[in-house]
Amino acid sequence: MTRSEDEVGQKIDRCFADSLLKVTGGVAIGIVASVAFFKSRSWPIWFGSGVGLGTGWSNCRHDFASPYVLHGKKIPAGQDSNGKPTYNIIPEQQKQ
Amino acid sequence: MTQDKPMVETISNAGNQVTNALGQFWQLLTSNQSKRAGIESKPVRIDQLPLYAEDNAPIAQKFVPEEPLPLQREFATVRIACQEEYSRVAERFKVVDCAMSQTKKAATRCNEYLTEEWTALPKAAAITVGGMAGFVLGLKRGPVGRLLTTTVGLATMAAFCYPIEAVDVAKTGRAHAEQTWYSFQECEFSRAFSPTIHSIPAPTPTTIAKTNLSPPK
Repeated sequence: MTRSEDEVGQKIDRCFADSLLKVTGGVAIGIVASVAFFKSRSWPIWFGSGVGLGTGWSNCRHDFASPYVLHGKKIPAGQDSNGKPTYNIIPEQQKQ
Repeated sequence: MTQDKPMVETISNAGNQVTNALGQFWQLLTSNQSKRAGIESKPVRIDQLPLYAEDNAPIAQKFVPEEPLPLQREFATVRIACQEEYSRVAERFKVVDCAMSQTKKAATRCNEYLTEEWTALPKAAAITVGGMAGFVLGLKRGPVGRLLTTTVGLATMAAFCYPIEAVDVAKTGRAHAEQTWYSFQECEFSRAFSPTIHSIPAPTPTTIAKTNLSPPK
């Protein structure tokens, strides 16, 4: 059984990882936009990082506000997460 | 009058055409309805209607948790290490744990207040205006005077906006000041300057035995 502290900790980890991912994406898009469209100005990078940070913050708020939401998906039994049928392969025993 | 007749005829013809079109439309509509009524007239029991979810065969499903995000495990490692270090420090120094719990409690209360109390933003605006007024009044002074007038403006507006808390803060500050003053009076440093020092006998310095280093005569 998972402790509540561990569940909160997992949420915090997820928040940090998600925010880092989004900030990195925002900075990357900002760098590309800055070089391509805005004569290498710095504000698109700051703007992108701010958007990423805000998105991560909002996701964190939603995640903490709804404590019973599980991150995952339901799939029909007998299939893996890619929709392929799962087989239980049992090696044939050699006859002696 | 002779010229009006064709106009009247035209209008009556148009009226007839519209009436015919409506009649045809109604005929088509009623004929479709009768067909539908023929289909729906087949008697069906209520429990045979496909209305209820339990009629469908339940599809066996299972929940697959999402894969952790990139760097999530690394964050978990750092977090667990920080928690262990903090628990080690908090076990050794109770003051740290006490200060941290008090800070957490204050932050939670502040967050609750900000989310639930609608007057927070107007009060914050009023306090900011007070601080700005203090800053403007202190523009002709030096940096210290400017800081002082800004602080006074902020504090005044904060006291107006939060009178009960201001009284609490003043009482707590007075109590702390009194306690500090009493403890200062009782400490050794203040006794050195107090007039009662003369009544207390001064401690006699311990005599250090000097070894005779001169050669024997």
